[in-house]
Amino acid sequence: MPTLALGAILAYLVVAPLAALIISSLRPTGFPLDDGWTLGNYAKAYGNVEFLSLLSNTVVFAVGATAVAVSTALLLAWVLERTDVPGRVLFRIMVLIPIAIPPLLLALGWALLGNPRNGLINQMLRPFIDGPLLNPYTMTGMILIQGLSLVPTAFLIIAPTLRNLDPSLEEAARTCGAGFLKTVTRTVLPMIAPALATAGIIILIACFVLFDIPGALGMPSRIYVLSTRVFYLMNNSPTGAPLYGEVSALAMLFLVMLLAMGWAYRRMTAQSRRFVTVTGKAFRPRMYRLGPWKWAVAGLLGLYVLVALLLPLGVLAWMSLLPYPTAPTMDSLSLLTLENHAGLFESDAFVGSVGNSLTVAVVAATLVTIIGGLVSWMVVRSRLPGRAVIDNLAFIPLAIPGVMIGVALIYVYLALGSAVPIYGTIWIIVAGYLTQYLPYGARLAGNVMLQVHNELEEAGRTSGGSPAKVMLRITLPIVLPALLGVWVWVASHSLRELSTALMLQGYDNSVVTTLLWDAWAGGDVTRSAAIGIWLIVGTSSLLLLWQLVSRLTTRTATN
Amino acid sequence: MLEVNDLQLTYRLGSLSHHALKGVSLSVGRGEFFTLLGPSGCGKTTCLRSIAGLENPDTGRIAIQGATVFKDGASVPTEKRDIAMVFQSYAVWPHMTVAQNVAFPLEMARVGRAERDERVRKALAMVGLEPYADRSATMLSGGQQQRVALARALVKNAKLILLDEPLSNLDAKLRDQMRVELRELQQRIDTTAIYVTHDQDEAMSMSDRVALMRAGELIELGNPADLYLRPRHRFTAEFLGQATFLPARFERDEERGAVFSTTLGTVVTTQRRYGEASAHTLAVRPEHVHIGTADELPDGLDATIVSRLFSGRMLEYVVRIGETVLPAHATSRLLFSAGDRVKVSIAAENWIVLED
Repeated sequence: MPTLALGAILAYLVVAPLAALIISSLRPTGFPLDDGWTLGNYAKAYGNVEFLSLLSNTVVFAVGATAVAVSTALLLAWVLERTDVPGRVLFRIMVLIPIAIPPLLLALGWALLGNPRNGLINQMLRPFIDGPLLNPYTMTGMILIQGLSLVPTAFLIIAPTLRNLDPSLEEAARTCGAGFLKTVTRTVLPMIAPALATAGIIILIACFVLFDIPGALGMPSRIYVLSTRVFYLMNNSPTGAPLYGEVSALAMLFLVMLLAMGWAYRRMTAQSRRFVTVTGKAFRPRMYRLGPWKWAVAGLLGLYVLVALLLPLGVLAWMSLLPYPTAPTMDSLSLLTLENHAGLFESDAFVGSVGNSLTVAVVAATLVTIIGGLVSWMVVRSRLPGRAVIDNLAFIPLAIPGVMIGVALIYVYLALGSAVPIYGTIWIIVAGYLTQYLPYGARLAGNVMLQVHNELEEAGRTSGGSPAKVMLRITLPIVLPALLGVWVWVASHSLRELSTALMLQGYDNSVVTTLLWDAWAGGDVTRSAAIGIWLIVGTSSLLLLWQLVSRLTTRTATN
Repeated sequence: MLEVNDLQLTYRLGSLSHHALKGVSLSVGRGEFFTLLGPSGCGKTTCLRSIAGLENPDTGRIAIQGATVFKDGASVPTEKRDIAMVFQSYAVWPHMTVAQNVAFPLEMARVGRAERDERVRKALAMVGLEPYADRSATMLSGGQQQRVALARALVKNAKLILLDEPLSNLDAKLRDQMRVELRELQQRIDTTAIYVTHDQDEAMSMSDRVALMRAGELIELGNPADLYLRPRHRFTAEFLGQATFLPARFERDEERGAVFSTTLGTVVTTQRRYGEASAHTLAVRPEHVHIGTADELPDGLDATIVSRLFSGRMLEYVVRIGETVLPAHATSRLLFSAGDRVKVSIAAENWIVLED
């Protein structure tokens, strides 16, 4: 019974959109409910030169950004965890802060700094250098900025491994006569290889599906990757009408590719779980002394923080306080005003979109936490039949880009019509986020479940509690604080999500990110900067709140 | 009190299968301290968990106090069985205080507030944790958590208490102390205990009876002294302590027991042989190999000390008798050195005749 109910929910959230996408790709009109079958969409989507450049662009972008993110994160993690560089604690916080910043804003920040015509940095350097120094509206720019935005994610995966590495393993290598480089390449790297691979493949999958940065930086200069191409074909196609069939056909290739990667990732993590490198043994990681180099290394770290955080954030804050975009000089200081911010709160569009964003985030986060919690409990804990099917169903959306979930939901809810009349409302966005964040919710909640020893529940049963009572009185209270973490994760990602909301945009369901996108696309720089600042306020206060709550709950647990 | 008949359980994982219980049967009387002993993976924990209803065997029957709780797949759920259980990981709930942990079984049984408080107090007093009642369970040491788990099991007044390696996570000193306490408690409240352990010292010192298991089968069952001094199986003799095994040929039956011929010459035992076979195996424990001077043991066998290990409390010698080498444990009453010529004697009642 519970399996069937959960299966039905997942079928609705995952199978229906997927089926709509597949059927649509085989219909002449591209609408799942229309008549006729054809392979013409595939011929159109794959049978042209543009497809090859689209494919190569997407791969170059994804692999490039992944390489930037993982190598930067590895260097940062090593320096911050294993050397005596000054200011480690502060730098660690600064490296992690960008998690609260939507990637779109990083792109906008760098667009404002590096725009070849009037980017602030280019303007300031104009007297000294011939021609613009920077141009983020290029493949290189996209790769670097996307890479930067994913560094904190990679850092979070890699740093704990480096921290928990038993130093005696390295010391053993040193006593065997291995020098510093040999020690690193022969012992450290192989030991952290699983973490590197995990980080790499998670980020690679993300890079294939992300929209924000290629959308903001690539589309204006007509550099398309998969996600932006789908968006383009749906919204600005040459013929004017959305090319549904062609989009669906295009989606299939990437679906197959991403599912293959997702499967590889699952196999890898399933194996790595078998090698538990974290022992109960207490030790102090071996610290490498940088000697006189430590200030140089600290300087480089400072440069990183400047590039990844302070500059793009600073320029946004600056622009949000100006009546029109201009460079920061002594003269322009007198122009500073709170007009933009005040104007936002007087605008119905902004206030309405804030309300929408909050509603969507709260509802989506709550539902994902509940469904993800149930899925993970079933997969990790129960022995109910059919749990493998549930596990796989909940995993599939990981490989579906947000734009495609958008497309698929358009099909589903146009087809459902008045039966579920949510097309064009905020509830279709909620439905999109449910599908999109379910794999993460289930995985995060699964990790929580794994930490709860089986015997805690069994002790409840042998104490005379029925399964339902044990769930209510024991399992739930124990996992609740950690589930709150899942909730915050989903809520903050829903707040900053752009592509699905953009695809599903109707008359009155605009959220903060789509409002921001429209303002930016309309050339209203100062207003978009102001919206961006408030978006950051929203996402970071959510994370702050969570930090406070989790600190409080751990304190009560230890008292 | 507890009847287990022909329990069969096979774990399946895809094409892999593991036959965890191969027809285990046992019968435990009221008030007994009964131990399931064996190496890891022998099925002892699976058997205990089946009694608790946490595992579902394929076939067989389990009855607690005459009430059938499991028969060929049909099972009474854990919470409806009259049992209490102590887990290896203690399984003390971290989100409750000590008193809340202990009160939980009573809440589930809908015991009234006043009676509940009184019984919780008594249970905590029994394990010496009364002053800690309002502490968070996570603030306790391992030994104290173990006591909370114990109090939680005792408070229910269940007729049957199941203990799954409850002492294995404690340090050696605390473990010795808890052995004594646990045994005393069990006798004081007059309950029946099924105890699982892989530690033979623990099993021997606490139990009324021990069932030795290997690879899903019950090998041998008996009281600790019989199992140690008169094992029927080589596995039992080895698992419960050190022993030397000698191939032996049956010679004849005498009034006291069977006589065998071995590499040590003719050996008189006080046991009968098993079946009609002529080839048997005899076993002897090192502490039963008696070493002495020629004056003390004029009838002993001639032997040479091969090596000596002095560990204070005991001397571990290895002696050679003809071509046979065997360990011998002695007190520090007399000290011999390697190369010394000595006499060795083994009493007839110390020879163990094995069935396999």
